[in-house]
Amino acid sequence: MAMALQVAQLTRWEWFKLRRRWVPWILLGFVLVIQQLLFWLTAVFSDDLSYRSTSENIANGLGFAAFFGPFVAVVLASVVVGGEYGWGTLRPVLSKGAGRWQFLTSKAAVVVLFTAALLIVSCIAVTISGFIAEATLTAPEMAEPYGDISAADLLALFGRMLYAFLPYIMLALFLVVLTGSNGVGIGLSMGYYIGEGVILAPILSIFSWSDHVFAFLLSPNVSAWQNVPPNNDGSIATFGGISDMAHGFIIVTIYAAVLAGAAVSLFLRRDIAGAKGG
Amino acid sequence: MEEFVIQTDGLTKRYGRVIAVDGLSLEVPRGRIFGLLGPNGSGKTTLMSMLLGLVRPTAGGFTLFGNSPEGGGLDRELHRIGALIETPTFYPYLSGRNNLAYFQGISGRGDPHEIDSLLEQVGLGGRGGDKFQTYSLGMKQRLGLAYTLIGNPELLLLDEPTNGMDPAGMAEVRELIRSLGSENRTVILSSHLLNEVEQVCDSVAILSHGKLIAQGDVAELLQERGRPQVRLRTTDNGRAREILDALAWVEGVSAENGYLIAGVEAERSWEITAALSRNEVYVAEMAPSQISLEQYFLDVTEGVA
Repeated sequence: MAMALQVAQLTRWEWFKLRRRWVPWILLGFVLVIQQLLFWLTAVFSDDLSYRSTSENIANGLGFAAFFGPFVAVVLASVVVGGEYGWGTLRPVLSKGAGRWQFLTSKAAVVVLFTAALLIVSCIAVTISGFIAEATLTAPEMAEPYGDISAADLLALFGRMLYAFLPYIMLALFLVVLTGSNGVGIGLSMGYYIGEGVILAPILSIFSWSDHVFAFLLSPNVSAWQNVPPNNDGSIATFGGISDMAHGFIIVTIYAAVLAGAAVSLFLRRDIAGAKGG
Repeated sequence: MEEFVIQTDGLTKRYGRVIAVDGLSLEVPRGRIFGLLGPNGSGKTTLMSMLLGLVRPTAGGFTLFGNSPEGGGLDRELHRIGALIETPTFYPYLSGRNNLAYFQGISGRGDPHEIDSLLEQVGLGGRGGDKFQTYSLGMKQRLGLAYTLIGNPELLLLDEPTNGMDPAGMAEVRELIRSLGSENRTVILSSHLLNEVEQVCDSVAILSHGKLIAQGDVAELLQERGRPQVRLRTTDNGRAREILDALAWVEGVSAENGYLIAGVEAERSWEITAALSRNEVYVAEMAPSQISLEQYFLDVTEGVA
């Protein structure tokens, strides 16, 4: 209990620092600009106004965030931990008895909190845009709306999305602790995200012989676990006959746990030196 | 109440083939201003880093306030310590005040309202709202000192706290350290400014190549090492030197910065005056002199190097 309180206290103070930095606000602005661009391009040029209800709009907003979320989580996780190495502030922090694993946990927590806030802002922005589009564009109704989505389903979707970002956050934390550099952390994490999700997974999905490899990659399991409408097509060779979503949950959890364990274990064992610069 | 705030036993740190700290057994008594001396690379910073849990010892152990840091106990003891290792490093985008607020918040010690008085105490009262990245090195050192005082710790570890300060600032910080040490607080001051250590510290430990080569009260160490001598200036130092050299009871005479240093007990000063005046050389100044900490340091580290 005392340790949980300490992590909560550290998280509060991480938030104090984070909101005074430029990086989270730049990320938020960047995501909103790109998201709105994509939304309006889609709405205007494809005449797709299938988001009729508020819940559909929110689900659509979450869909956008599913794409940007890992990117934001990776950059933010790398920056919040890498900055400590660069400025040499781990010394004064740990000298105040912050506790190593508690400090790293508070870093992960503040990234999750910010990413959650980003999901909410993203939903609000797309919902507002959805209403504006419906009122101003005179497109014909599309045939395939999501259908009404209950508040409970939306909440579950929100939770699944946030949970799916955990392995990416842990990957970034691990790489930054390993290299002591936010730049390298961002580069390698993004390299993995793009390399696996955009290059490797689509290639492996073509061949039947690679079904079992594909089933254990992170990105297909993240998609299966998030199950964002309307992309809920079963496409993983699951084990033991379990559902795609359950398979996705297990693999996402394993990735997150292993990477978190590796990051904490390394952070506990490493000697802390002075400032390393960028 | 424990007698020693720090005790190390065979504490060792190796970096590959380099031994930074070599089997160090040291005791720091409570309530003293304790100087940690040593040339660059002698292991002072590594020792402090090990005591703070920043660097893991390769061998040996230590206690803080009589408690072993094993089993997570170190974080608890760290709440009783204020430490500044090397150049102060804080968050550049936060103001001095917000940096202190953050560290006060994560330590859970002290009162948020004490931050302004800490800034005043170290002479940063008017600049607390400025960002850390705009501070000069001297101001960073001052903020570092304020950081160490958060929560009124029982033990201060200060690594070169006057580095980058102007002479007036250095004198101010020396005075501050003296006043901190007079409040039953233990202060460990690491420095290679030997004059500073001599002026401020009650006792010292001297490290060289990671080993402890001397430890004790400053006055006792100097007394043990130094032979009795007097320092004098005369109307004719050249002639005076010849006269003193000829006296059997004077053990050596040397010249130093316009003065003569004569190896003789202070109680025999009148005999020197008499011997010189008989030869029409007159004493303008004379005072007992003892070996300086700098000379002592050079003597004891020379052999090890």
